[in-house]
Amino acid sequence: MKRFLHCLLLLSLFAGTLFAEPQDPPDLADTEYEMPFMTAPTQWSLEERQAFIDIAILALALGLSSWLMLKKRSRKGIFMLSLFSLFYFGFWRKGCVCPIGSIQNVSQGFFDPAFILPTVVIAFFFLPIIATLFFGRSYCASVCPHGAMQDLVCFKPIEVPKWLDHGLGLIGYAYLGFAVLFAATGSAYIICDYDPFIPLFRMSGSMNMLILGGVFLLIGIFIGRPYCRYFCPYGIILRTMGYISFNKVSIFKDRCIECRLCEKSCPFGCIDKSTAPEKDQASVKGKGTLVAVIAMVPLLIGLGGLIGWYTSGSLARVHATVRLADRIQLEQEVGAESLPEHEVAEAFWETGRKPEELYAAAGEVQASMTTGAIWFGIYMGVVLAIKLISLSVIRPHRDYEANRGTCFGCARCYEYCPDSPGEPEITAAAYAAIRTGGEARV
Amino acid sequence: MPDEDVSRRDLLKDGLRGAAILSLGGICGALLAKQGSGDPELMLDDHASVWQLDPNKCTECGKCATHCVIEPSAVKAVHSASTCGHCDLCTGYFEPDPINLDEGAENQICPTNAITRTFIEEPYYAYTIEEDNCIGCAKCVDGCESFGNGAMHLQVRHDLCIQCDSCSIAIACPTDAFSKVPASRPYMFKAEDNWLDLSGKRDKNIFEVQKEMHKVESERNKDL
Repeated sequence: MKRFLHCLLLLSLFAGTLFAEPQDPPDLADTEYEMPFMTAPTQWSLEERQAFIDIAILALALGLSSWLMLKKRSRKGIFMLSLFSLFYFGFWRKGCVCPIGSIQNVSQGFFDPAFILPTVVIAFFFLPIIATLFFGRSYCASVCPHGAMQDLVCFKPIEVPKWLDHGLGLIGYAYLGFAVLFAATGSAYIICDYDPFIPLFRMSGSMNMLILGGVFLLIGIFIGRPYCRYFCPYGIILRTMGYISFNKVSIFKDRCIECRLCEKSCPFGCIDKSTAPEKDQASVKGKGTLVAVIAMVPLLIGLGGLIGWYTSGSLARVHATVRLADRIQLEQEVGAESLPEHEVAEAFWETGRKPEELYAAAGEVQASMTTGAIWFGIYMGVVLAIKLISLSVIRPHRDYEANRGTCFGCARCYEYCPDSPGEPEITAAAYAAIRTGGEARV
Repeated sequence: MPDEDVSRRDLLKDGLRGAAILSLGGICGALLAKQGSGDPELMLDDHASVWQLDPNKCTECGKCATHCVIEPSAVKAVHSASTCGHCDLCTGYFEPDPINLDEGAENQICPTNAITRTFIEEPYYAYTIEEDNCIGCAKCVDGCESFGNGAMHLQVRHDLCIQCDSCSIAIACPTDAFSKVPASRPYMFKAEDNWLDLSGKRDKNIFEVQKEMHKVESERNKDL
């Protein structure tokens, strides 16, 4: 009864509008009325010219960065170029389209035949990878606006313990795997959704996004390049390319005197220590450990695939269609009245679509997510296995050198190395001073 | 012994380099080939894709105004005058219980006074939307859709939209009305005869047809 009265009240409010039924457009041809038309504005950034300009600037910046990093060895040059990249790719182009996000577009373009994959996105994906294969991580050095942003705020870097560095590094691999998985199944673009710096470039966004950006900048003051080192999914690809790159950052010219100045100058912990002399003949830390690790590889891969399969049900709920289908199924089981309100479900019933269609679509998503999740599990198993094997194997080297995979090419270490090309020759007296720390050490 | 170790490592490195170059080339080639070979209807070789709002799926929830990452929202109301009834009591202009049928702000459903109402001749009025004031809240769309001709609807304006890879409104939309379409066909208006397309052309709309018919009739009447 109460409900009926409410309806009556609402209807009476709208009583005046009862006379306003839909009516045909009137014949106003004899009046002076000029009917306005709707406009379809577009913007220059969508035109092909802007795409070509972006690709050209990216290619030029990569070339310049590689030259500054390897040949000119100039910290100042890298710094100036990173300021330009921060301005152009960051604040001017609002950080989109970017190579990090292009992972998602490329993944979806691979698996979804109806997905539009513009040439500029393909170029942004491949150009930094190819540059890294040839020159090392010149993209990270001074072209990526995210890296430039973090590099700028790195005032008081602290050293991260090695075990923590290795552990956190695995997050990036998982992030890459999830990004590919969710983009390929058309579920979500998690790289974009959780990017800390894009809201700062746009200078707008939800409160959560802006806080995340602020937190990363704050952490970046003390831990250099936190996003690059532990989260960036594109960095994982570049790291892999960096390990096999044709050229690399070499700090000293003739010999390393193990003064450790480069190690102390690197804010990101990318300088590998020399191995102890007694380990010169060793190639493994302990043969037993290595055998155990290699034996564990099939177990890790199998376990990974199993965990992927087991969690594929929950992972599928990242896709909006699956969430809606779950809700509709629940409503058909227990009735909508006993459940809290659900805007999307209400909108679904309004459209008049049949639940069977929805179930079919959601079922397809679940199938592709199951396959994807199993592959994701296998991939994480392989990553863990390779990590453990690489930690068990020693590459004897008596020089301090920049780690080929993780070195960001910031060129800070060049200025500190006494034997860097372009630096004055080291004299015996200067060497003695370094060894004794000015008579402080013996 | 150390020399053998070095050459084994180098072999592995060269092998990986070769594999990397081959696989990069393969993937790049596959993606570029996919570009031009698709269904021409889908226009897979379009140079860019943009976000598009399907007004037929819209339920006027108001999320377009609140979820866009830029302020004010890149989604705005547009008005298809060729579908419009030009009613005196426009339910897209007036709130459900107006005090008077005049242009007073207290009578309008639009919270930002973005719709202007102009008298043509009894009992017809013209309604136009000032885009600079519109925030895309869909209140006018709701009114027009519920009781009128449904001539007012929301569209993404591409001089404002920054084309995020992951549109925040698209994620929040309850009816999944947002989709990525080729940049050459950005808009889905409710009336296809009444908009100025990218090349400045458009089909004749119903009013122009009416004018022509009047002209033809008056010519015919002259002869009689």
